[in-house]
Amino acid sequence: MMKKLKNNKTLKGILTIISLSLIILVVLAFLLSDEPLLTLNAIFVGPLSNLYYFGNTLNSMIPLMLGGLGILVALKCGLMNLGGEGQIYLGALFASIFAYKFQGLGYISIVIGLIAGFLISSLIAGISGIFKVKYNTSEMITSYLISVVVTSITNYLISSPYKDPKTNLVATSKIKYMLHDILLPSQLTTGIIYAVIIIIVLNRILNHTRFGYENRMVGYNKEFARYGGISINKTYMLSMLLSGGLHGLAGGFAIVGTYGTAIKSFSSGMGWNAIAIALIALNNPLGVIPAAFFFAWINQGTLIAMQTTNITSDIALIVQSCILFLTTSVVLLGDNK
Amino acid sequence: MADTAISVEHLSKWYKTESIMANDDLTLSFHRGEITCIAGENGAGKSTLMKILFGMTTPTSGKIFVDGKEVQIPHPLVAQSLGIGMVHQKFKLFNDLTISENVALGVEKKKHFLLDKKTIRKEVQQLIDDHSFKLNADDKIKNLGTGEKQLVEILKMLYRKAEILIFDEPTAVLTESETQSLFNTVRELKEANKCIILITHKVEEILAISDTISVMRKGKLIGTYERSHLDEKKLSDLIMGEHVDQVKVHKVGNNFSEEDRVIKFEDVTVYRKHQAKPLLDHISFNAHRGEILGFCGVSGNGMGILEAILGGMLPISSGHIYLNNSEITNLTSDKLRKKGLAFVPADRYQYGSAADGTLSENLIINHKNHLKERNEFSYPLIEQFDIDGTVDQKMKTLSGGNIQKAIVAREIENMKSYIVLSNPTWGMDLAATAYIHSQIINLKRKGASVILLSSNVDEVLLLSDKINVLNNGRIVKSFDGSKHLDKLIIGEYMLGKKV
Amino acid sequence: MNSLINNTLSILTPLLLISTGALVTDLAGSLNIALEGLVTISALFSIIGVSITNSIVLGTLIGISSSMILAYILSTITSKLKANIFITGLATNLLATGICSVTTFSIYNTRGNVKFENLKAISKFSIGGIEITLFLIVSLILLALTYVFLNMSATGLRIRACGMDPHSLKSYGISRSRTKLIAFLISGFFCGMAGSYLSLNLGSYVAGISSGKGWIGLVIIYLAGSNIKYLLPAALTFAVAEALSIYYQGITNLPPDIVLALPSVFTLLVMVIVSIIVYKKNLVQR
Repeated sequence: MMKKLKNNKTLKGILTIISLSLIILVVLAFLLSDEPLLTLNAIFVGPLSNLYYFGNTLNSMIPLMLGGLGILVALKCGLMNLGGEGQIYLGALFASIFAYKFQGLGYISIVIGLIAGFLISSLIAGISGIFKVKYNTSEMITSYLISVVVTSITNYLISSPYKDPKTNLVATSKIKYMLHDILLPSQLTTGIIYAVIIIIVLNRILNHTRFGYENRMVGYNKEFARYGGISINKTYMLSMLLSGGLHGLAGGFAIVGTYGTAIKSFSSGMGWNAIAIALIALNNPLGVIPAAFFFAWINQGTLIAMQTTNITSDIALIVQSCILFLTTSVVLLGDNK
Repeated sequence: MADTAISVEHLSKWYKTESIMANDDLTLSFHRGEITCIAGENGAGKSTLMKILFGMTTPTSGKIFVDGKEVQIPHPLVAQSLGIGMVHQKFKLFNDLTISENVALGVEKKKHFLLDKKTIRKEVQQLIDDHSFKLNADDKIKNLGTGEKQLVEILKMLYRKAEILIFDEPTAVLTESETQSLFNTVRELKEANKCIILITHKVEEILAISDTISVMRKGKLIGTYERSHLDEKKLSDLIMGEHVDQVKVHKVGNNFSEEDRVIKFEDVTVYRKHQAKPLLDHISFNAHRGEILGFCGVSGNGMGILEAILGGMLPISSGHIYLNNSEITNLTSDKLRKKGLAFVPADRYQYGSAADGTLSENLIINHKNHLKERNEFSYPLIEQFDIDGTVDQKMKTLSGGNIQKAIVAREIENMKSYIVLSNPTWGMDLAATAYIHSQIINLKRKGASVILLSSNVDEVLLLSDKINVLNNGRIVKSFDGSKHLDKLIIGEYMLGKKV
Repeated sequence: MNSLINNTLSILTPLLLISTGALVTDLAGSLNIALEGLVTISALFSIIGVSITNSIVLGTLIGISSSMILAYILSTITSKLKANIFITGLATNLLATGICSVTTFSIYNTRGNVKFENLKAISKFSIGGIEITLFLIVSLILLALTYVFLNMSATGLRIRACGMDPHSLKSYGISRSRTKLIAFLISGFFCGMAGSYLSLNLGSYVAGISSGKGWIGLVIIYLAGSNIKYLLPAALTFAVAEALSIYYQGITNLPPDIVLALPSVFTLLVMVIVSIIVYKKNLVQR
């Protein structure tokens, strides 16, 4: 990450953004909380205060990193996948159904679940890809609308046909085999290792393979890529499929790592956060790691603050939006395309 | 000497990010009732000086005087209020608005909070008639030709009561006869006692139009000369700082047989839906080994369409295209590339390069399976074509001329049996142009089939063995390039005045 | 039948307002992604305004101000920091959600839903059983005024020019960022009206009150080909479709989750069909 930062300007810009958003948090805490210092302590120090919170912070990074990666892949070729919400959610549902169905196969059921999640979300994003390629329909709007529909359908599937009758939760049946915990009592699992491996592999693919080159060139200048004999349609499709697949994996890992069951609306908001993370990562696949950590930290911190003091965790939304406002600034960060 | 309208003293402009002294201690004055040419190569600093005068950028140091008073010009609005107007090289017009809307934009007359469309239209039409331009104030810009659009730009200045008129490379986009008519208009404006500043690098035109000539080189003013003291050789030596010979071409004319044929177009026609008139109308021609086949035409007459078809960027409606006797009709660019297409597009930014990619990423695009060796591949090209840039430099930080050199280098390297070049030297200086011309002749000597499309008649005349003139989507005339040809006659075919 | 028409008109009002405002930004050359957020924030602040001032007009003005302030922030940050309008638009939506959620939490101690008792109702009158609200009439008048503004005023001309070629504007001495700011403020005004209507008509504020209407607004513009003349029929198409889906919700056994998805399915279909038509129209004839 550091060596890829183009110059001091970029680094200064990132520091400005981080400090500005922290200042906003402080101001909000003083405005809204009866015990601002306690609140701030919970937000900033809370996630690091014990292994339980720290592990949970790391754990919540997993879907954020994979979703962010999914956005980033598409962004590199100039596509905006706005359907992350639905893709993560449906991916999670499929992972839980398939891992449950094949639990007779032992730990292989985890792999089957993840593959199912990858494929279904890949397919969903692929629909937007097809319309983009065939009729130049804005992938941004179709992916968002499809996501809304997919979310409703998933809600229905979880609350009716696939609902586990044995529990009061609106959720699917709990799967038997899950990833190993590595930092008990927290929820952190070996999933974080797999996620980091996926990031490293993808970094390699995007920077050093023909697909990565073509994907990048299409993003830089579509007409130039076409002129140079790159098939735009093929690149768009592959990029969308991979983008959706990574979102599916994000949902899948949440199931096989953390929850074990797809709970109604459990992933709400993850897709939007993934977009912010991809942007803060400054187009660098490895950059999603620190970006996701920063987000997870603020999310976890505000959750802890909500439990301990009288404040709503939704102040995280305000901070995240401010980060989002600033991350695409050419003035602050230079031209990072 | 006539009275001074605008002058600069010790004017300098330093571009920090690029570390370039674009203007270096310039002291110059421009007079009423006079046409002054600023002559110089690309990158000599002419455009920077004009941008400063028009308030598009501010000088690092130095003073500007208008009518003897020192002024600051931080913004084009200030320039306008000082009576300075400018015709940009790239027209600043809105295609979907009418002539009168374009002319009035920014200085709109109002009545009851709304636009006073009636008065505006009347005033603009009056202005048009005063200068006997053949325009209608209600026409939309998109229905105008290039020369007419330029007249609208002039109207914009006159409507704003500009006294100092700056023209930035006004003839780059015009045909010979359009240039002549522009020059007539400019002379009339001079008679009306306007101060006229013209930027150009075409020696012939400078000598034809100007009273005074200021020559710039690498940001510095070399000198200011009376027209009568210069001739063609002297002026081009001043501009270049050295003498450059034009390339020598051995023309072969039309002596080709069937076996030499590489590309064959057979009744190629392109329609756009809902338009009765075809964009290309039954075009047939052959291109041969060892031949430079030239095409010239005014933009909008099918040159761009022909380029797009040759490059596999646009499908055709009917007809056939063959490469070495196998049909390649409607193959897309990726398939044509595999069959050996080498192609220098007219638009170096939109098609020819990726601004955010590095130089080596841009050079390797024809060898996508050898990405790892892209630097090793790039070094010899950079050296051979004298490209001023490094392999990891972003394309957008290169100058226009260097980007074009990179594109030409890349495509010549990848050439197999034929190459399509569209406006290969547009906006390049004499030395770089001469180098690219010599490379094109080299290709021909090695037996390549070269298809050259250019809006620059001089270039087509200089290089081509055969010249096809496009007008209204048809080849209206073919000339044998080995014979002596008259530029003006070709220009009349291009404009459709002769059929 | 009357209830179907009433539902259609009630859905049409905010859609028409949102898409009229969004059209102005669209013509100025910016895709306004922030419509959702602008609607949401006004929905909350106008209902709070009405409950405090006990006046529909004042409350609506407060709501409109809130969304215009948000539009101002969006436009200014985007041009001053040279940020990507698309991302800052998303950020605005997130910010609006955050502000609304934090505001309801600190005033009413709920995350989102606030029900107001004894709230002044918006005035409506009935013609043959069909209810017409003042908001509907005002939105139709505003549509006509916007037409006049865009085509006959100097600012309108500048906004259209800005959308055609923003880079050329500077040479005319016209500021691009100022022109866009005006367009965004207008958009904020219209979304503000729409937000007021949504919460005041409902008598309460609920989280996600705009329920995708901002996105539908964008698709309406697309369907109307960015031409203000076709805006009303395009908006009406969506209003009828949504009213029908509400109607069928009452008479079928479809699960509510699926019925909720129907408007989006419809929007999606229209979007795809229009883009296919546009694509075929521009295709070079074979």
